[in-house]
This record gives sequence, C-alpha cells and structure tokens, in this order.
Amino acid sequence: MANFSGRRSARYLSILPAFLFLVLLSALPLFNLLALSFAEVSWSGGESQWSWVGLNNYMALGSDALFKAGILNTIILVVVATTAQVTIGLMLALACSRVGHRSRIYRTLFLLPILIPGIIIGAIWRLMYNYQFGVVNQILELVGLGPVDWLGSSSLALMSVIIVDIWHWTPFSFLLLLAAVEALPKDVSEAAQIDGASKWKEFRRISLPLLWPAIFTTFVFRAIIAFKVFDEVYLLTGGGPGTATEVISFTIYQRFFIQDNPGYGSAMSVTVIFIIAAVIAVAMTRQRSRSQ
Amino acid sequence: MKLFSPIYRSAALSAMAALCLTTASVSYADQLAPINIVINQSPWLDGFAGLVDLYESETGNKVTLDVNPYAGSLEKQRNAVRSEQSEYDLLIVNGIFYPEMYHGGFLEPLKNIDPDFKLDPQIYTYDDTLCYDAVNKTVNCETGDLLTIPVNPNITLMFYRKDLYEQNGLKIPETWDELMANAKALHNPPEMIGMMQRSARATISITWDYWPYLISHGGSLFRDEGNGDFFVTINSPEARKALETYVAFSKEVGPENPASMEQGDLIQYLVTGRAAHAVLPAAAQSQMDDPNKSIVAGKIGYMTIPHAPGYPSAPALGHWLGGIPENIAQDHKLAALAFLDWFQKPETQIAYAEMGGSPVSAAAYESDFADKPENRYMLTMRTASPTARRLWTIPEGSEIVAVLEVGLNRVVAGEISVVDSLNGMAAEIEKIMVDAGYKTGRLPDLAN
Repeated sequence: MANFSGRRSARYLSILPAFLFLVLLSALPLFNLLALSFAEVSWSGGESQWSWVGLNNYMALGSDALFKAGILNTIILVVVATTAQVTIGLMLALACSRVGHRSRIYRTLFLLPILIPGIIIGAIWRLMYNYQFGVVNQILELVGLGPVDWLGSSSLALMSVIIVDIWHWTPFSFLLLLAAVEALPKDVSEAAQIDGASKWKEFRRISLPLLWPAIFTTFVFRAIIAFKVFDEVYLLTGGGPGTATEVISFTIYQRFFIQDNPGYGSAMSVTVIFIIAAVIAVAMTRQRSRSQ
Repeated sequence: MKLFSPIYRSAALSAMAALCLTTASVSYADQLAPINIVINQSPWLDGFAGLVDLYESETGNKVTLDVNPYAGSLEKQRNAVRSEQSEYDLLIVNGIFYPEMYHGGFLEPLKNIDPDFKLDPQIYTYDDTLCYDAVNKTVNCETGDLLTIPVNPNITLMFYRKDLYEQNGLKIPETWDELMANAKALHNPPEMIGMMQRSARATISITWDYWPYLISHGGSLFRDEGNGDFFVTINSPEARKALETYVAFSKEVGPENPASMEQGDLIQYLVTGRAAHAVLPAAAQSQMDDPNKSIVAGKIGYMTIPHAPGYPSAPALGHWLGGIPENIAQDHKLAALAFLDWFQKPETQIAYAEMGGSPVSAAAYESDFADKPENRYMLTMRTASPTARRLWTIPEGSEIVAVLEVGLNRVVAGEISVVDSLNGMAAEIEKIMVDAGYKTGRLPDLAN
C-alpha cells in the first residue's frame, strides 16, 4: 500500500515541473491580464499610478463603436472565410487524392500561400489590389469592368480582406482534410460502387459522414485562428475605410500599444477570450452530442 | 649624442606632439560616455545617420542608432522610460506622442543637466513644443523648462507642378478658394488629378492633413488648450467649414478612391506625373528631383499651405524631438546633451541640410545652400516653419487621434455626413476628456 502511494506521489512529482511551467507561461499572464482589466494605469513623475476602476472598463465596451465594429467584422470574417476555406480545402483534398502520384506536385503548389510570411502577403495583395496599376483592376479593365476600389470602398474592403485570408489559409484546411481523405477506408467506397452507388451518392452517404469529425475539427481550428486575424488588416487597410475592416485584434492592438490604455485593452482581451472559449465550448458540446 | 641632432630632435618633438594629440583626443572621448539613440525608420534617417557619423569623426564620441519602425520605436521608448534605467540616452520622439513623455515626467529638463545650456536662438521652437511647465501642466516656452531639441521639422508643404502653373499662367494661391480654382483648371482624371491629400485611416494620416484646414479656418480642437481650457470645439461652424472644404477637394478635384490615400500614394501620383498638387511633409522633396524615381524632376515647386481669408497659413507639425530620459546615469545625460548641443549649432544644421536631412534651424534655411535651385523647398520652409502649428499637448492625444482618424475617414468614404462626423467626434472626445478627469464640455450639436 505504502509502495503504491509512494508511486503515486512520484507520478505527481514528475509532472510538477511541467505543471509549474504551464502555470508560469499561461496562467500567470492570464491572471495578470484579468487583474489589469479592472485597473487604469497612468504615469506621473516617471512613476506608474494604478487605480482600481472595478467594472468600468467592461462597462465602457458597450458604448465603444470600434469594439462593436471589431466584433461584428471579426464574426463576419470568421464565418465567411472559414466556411470558404474548409469547403475549398475539402474539394482540393478530394481532387488531390484522386490524381495518384502527381498529387505531390499539387500538394506543394497548394501549400505555397501558407508558407509565405504575412508581411509579404500584405505587400503582394496591396500591389494586386492597387487602384491604379494593380493586376486585379488591369484584368477587370480588359473586360470593361474596372477599376474597382478594393481597399478604399467601405462596401468592398472587408470582402477584399476575406479573399486574402481565404487565399492565405485554405492550405491549412487542405492539409488537415487531405490526411483525413487519404485515411478513408477504401473497401467501403468500393463496396458502394459495386452496389451501384453513384460517385455523388457515395460521397454524400459514405465519405462525408466519415470525414465529418475531421471537417469539424478543421473548422474549429480555422475559426480560432481566423478570430485572431491581424496582419492582413494591419497591412492592407489599417481597419479602414471608416470601420469597414476593423477587427477585434486590431482594436485591441490600438488600445494597448498605440493609445497606451492597458486597462481598457485588457478588458477587451478578456472579453474576447471569453467569447472564443464560449464558442469552442458550445461547438464541442454539440459535436459530442452529435457523435453520441 | 646623435640622438639630439636636429633631425632626431624634430622627430622626437613630432612624436611627442602626436602623443599629446592622441592622448588629448582619447581623454576627450573618455570624458563622454557612448550614447544610444532610439529613432524610427524615416525618409530623413539617412541625413541624420550621416550627421551622427560626422559627430563621431569630429569628436571621437560614440553614438549607436537603434532604428525601428514607427510603432516599434514608440514602444521601445515607452518601455525604456518606464524601466529602472533607460537603455537609450536620447529618444527621438514624434510630435504626436511627446505630450505623454512630458506629462509623465520621463524627460530631464536640459538645464538640469547643464545649467549653462542654451537653445540656439536660430532653432525653431515649433509652436513652443520644446518646453513644458510641469507645475501648470502646459506646453509653452514662457514658463516651461526646455525638455527637447527638435531633430526634424516634418512640416507639411503644398507640392505643385511648377511647369503646369507656368504653362497655364496660374498664380500661386494664397487661399483655399484660389487653390481650388487652380486645381480645377488642372484636373483631368485619370491622367491628371487636381489635388492629392491623405485621407486614409492610420495612426495619424487624415488628421494631419485636415489640421491645416481646421486651424486656418479659425477652428480648434479645444477652446483654449494653451491655457488649460479643454472645452471641445471640434464641432464648431469653423470646423464644419474646414471639413467641407477638405471634402470638396477630395470629391471635386481628388482621385476616384480618396478614402484609401496614404502618403506613399501621394508621392507615387506626383513622381509619375499624375498629380498637380499634393500635401506632403517637406522630407518627401528628396524623391521629387531624383530622375531614377521621378519623371517630373525639376518640375515640382513648393508653396505654403493655403488658408481661409483672414487667417494665417497653418501647416501641421508632425515633427520629431530629441529628449533625454530622466532615468539614465549623469554621464550619459551629459553625453547626450553634448550631442544635442553640437546638433543645434548653425554650422551643423547647414551640414545636415547638405547631407539631405531636414534642418530645424533658420541658419540652414537662410544659408546660401537654401538659395540653390535644387534646394528650392527650403525657401518655402523658411516661411512655413514659424507658422507651423502643433496638434495637441495632452497625453490623451493618442486616444483623440484614433477618434479623429475614424471620424474624418468615414466622411471621405461617404459613410456619414460632415455634421454627423463632427458631432460624433465631439461627443467621443468629450468622453475621453471626462474619463481622464479634465474639466470639459462641448459645443451644442451642429444642425444638418
């Protein structure tokens, strides 16, 4: 008995360093962020002055037009971009799995956008969207449709950012879904085909249900990453025109680092963390109940 | 004894003299600690870096430049002054963010470092932004201490096509209406855009270009900021007239996509020969006459920013100021001050101009160098520098500018009207001021 309990203690002791490491790197910064969200920091005489403001920072969020615009635009971007990325990624994965040994070339090509650093993507697309000489407008002008103010028009700017995000991140979905497609049991599909099922029917009734957990996981992963979108907006539009492309990470960045308002920026950050956590929790619960 | 023959005596004396000189230069260099300057990557950086090299070679003192993007430089400066000891001995602070350095007590008054230090009388004080009165919390050189020396003026000028003016017999405009008439005469889109101005939303973009309109129409952000009256007046009839004028230029003689125009776009339009006028900081002139970058080399002229009748021209200050952190050792403060003292000298300022920098002294703008045709922008700077106007003097400026950037950009983008924008911005700025504890208020809403 003593031996057993000793072994148990040893087991707990062995994970203690990892646990402390986790606390140090994750929990403490989060706790610090939470504490800061109830305070206001000002500077005088070279010294910082913290003042406790209770829930004031959180209350102010409700009347903050940029915060509201940031949340709304981020949700639009997450839903539209993630849906498109998973759909296109799945189509590419299915197509790639059927081209045999040449699929390696396609895989490499499809993965290229994800390998390019964000700053270069910003530069590439800024040039492509350029009103005067961008390649997109040049093509449109050839067919008598241009030029279009992709980044300066309030009605188009968010869509322009979403297109870049889709281009940038579809390879991520493609990669995850390709692994799932290639792991599909071949015998089930073959049996369905022998039984006379069409390709579409076989995909809808057999492949899609089998792929569903992978599709769901990809969607959740992508949605989490999309919620944190920053570089594309920062580089392409700076949140404008007006608030058309304001996204929540950009709003937080502005409050924290440019406006030097760490208390309020922390309240925004904590709120966003809660929103993301809640969305994930709901999604996971629904997925669990579905699979049961 | 041969050792003391004339030739050996002469050699020995030369060696002793050389040794003395070496020792002297070493001891001079030893007197001053090496200094570390944090600065942002700007079009004028090369000129400043050239000047630093000159300082090192002239004095033997060591200077290291830590060059960063705009936001990165700001962040490093904030971290440096808020730490136990700053890793930088000289901060090159932007004209938008200097108030937080002043109000926060982060910079050492220069006379505290050396009571005999004096600002060279030819250095521009740029609307008194070099001084801070810590007791009354106001930015002014009458009662305030000298905290910084300007490093770059970054004043906006009106760049225009001199050749087109001559061809069309146009006169240099004084007022906005006259400028509009000239711009209309030359506006022929898409080949030629009558007037280019920044209208995009950024850290500070459209605000900087709207400011001269606001001030030169008799408008203001606050009722009397210099005397501590922070009653919000951005929704005054004068501000409305200013914004309507600004928008008219965008709509009537601007490009088809004004809401996304940034400084880079303006320069691009000018150097490709597709803009008749553009509001740009003086430093952008370096790209105009370079035949490798511009097809309009020698064709660009410079004029002061126009104004409404009865008001003076009011180019906006986006200048850079050199300040010494309070939290560094005394020997580093002395070394940083020695650099600033050398920097402000008239001969240094002329050398700065010759290296392609933007001087901050009348000595440079009134020198023979300024009279050369290739330096013609300097003549305009001579007129514009004393009239340039600061933006704001309070640390809340970084929050206020965010409100202005969104509000003004939305008008140009056609999302909201001039009146709704001004009323909305006034309410938001009032809230910022209330939250920060100022005694404030705002004008009644403008009617549509």
